[in-house]
Amino acid sequence: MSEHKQEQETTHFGYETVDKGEKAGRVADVFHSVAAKYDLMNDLMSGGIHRLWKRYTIELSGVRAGQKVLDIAGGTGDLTLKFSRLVGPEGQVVLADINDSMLKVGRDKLIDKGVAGNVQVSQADAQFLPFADNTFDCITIAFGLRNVTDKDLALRSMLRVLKPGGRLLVLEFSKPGNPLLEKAYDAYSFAFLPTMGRLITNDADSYRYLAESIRMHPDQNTLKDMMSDAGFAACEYHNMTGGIVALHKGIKP
Amino acid sequence: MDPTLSTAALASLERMINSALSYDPGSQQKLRKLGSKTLQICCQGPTITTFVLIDDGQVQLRQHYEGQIDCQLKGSAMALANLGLSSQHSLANSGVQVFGSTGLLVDLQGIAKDLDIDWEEPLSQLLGDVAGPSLAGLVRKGISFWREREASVWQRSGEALSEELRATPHPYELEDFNQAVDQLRDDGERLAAKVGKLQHSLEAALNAAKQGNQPE
Ligand SMILES: C[S@@+](CC[C@H](N)C(=O)[O-])C[C@H]1O[C@@H](n2cnc3c(N)ncnc32)[C@H](O)[C@@H]1O
Repeated sequence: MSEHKQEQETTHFGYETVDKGEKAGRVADVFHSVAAKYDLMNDLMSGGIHRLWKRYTIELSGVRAGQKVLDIAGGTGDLTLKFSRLVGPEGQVVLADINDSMLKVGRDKLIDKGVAGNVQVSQADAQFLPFADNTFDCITIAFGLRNVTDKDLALRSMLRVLKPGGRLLVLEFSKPGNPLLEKAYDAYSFAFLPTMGRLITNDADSYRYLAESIRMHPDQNTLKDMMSDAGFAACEYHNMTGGIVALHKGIKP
Repeated sequence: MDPTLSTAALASLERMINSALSYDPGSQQKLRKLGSKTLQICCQGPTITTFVLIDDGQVQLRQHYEGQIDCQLKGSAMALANLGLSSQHSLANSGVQVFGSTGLLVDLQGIAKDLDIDWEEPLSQLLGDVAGPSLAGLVRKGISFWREREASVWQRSGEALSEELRATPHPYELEDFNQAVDQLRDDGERLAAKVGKLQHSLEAALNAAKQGNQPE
């Protein structure tokens, strides 16, 4: 009994097993530490490909003028920026993240790009979204779900605040279909990323966490099942770049 | 196909178009006059669907779109490239089916033709990703065929004016082009077969030489 309890209350922090209460704080440290150089690292790490993954996400969102969108774990606001143009002055985008350092970089970037009026910035935990039921036409979580302690809780919370017919898009690292690609990708993420992290942000540990958290994240079909279990309908996914990244989509019935 | 590749190809094509538009205020003005319009291009064999969204003098290219469509084109990659990149406006014999506003299509063709864009590279990249280099090569040849052809049309100075004044091409011209493409394809296939044969006999010769060299 006590053993079972212990099992429930620990979770993964990369490859380490940590207390559930502790994970959020450790994740926060990672993103506080990388926030200032996050955009630069993103471009360098993915060779700019993350822009293409995000562009495809925007296409599949089907977001139109006048709609309400939540970009949770939105960090420095890449998706928010694009959504704010799509929804126009009549629509609204909420850029939400648990981490105020990331949000601050995001807010500055949005102001810098001349976005105002239809974007609201909100510090929020994906597991306990502080929004009314049936609020959003679309929710995106890009490279965020793997950092969340209780993914089921987060999926249910997102379902609650979506309008019926609204869609959730989860963009996340996943499992490459080709073993060779997986090998190459492993070498890249475990050797190259932390080194680059050390050079640019002076923080190899954060990028080691990144590589490990990618490995521990559920694969395509597991995540799809998790979404169905949480109550989403018509769940499907699209592999990108050989499955290094997958875009999952689900509709609130 | 991996959406990363098609997204990359469309993104680079889109960037090229919008940058060409920014250097050509006349064309941009014409585009702006069209307002907010969407063209869907359904390429069959290889299957690629592209949406061309026009808004405020800018172009967006997408693989997914759920809003209203003003004009839809359907045809093979060759037929579509032929229609879009030549100066011909006629749909007859083009092998392309059009649904919805043909007016929009004609306007866009006019604008596309004026824009200073090298379509060859991004288009053959897009097709190459989907259908492999052979089809991309075919389209590439098709495009340069048109280039040369149009250049020669201009050289025949006496005819040039009347050529330009005509709104529709003579049906023979399209036939002509289609035949040339077929010819090209046949030639290509024959060439590939010849190369294969040569390779084969070369290998056979090498093997024979090796065996001959082997000490008893
Ligand atoms: C890798 S970043 C992704 C940022 C952005 N979506 C992008 O694609 O560039 C992950 C983000 O998830 C946020 N995050 C982690 N746990 C979270 C939670 N429980 N709720 C909301 N955001 C969270 C982090 O603060 C971080 O900004």
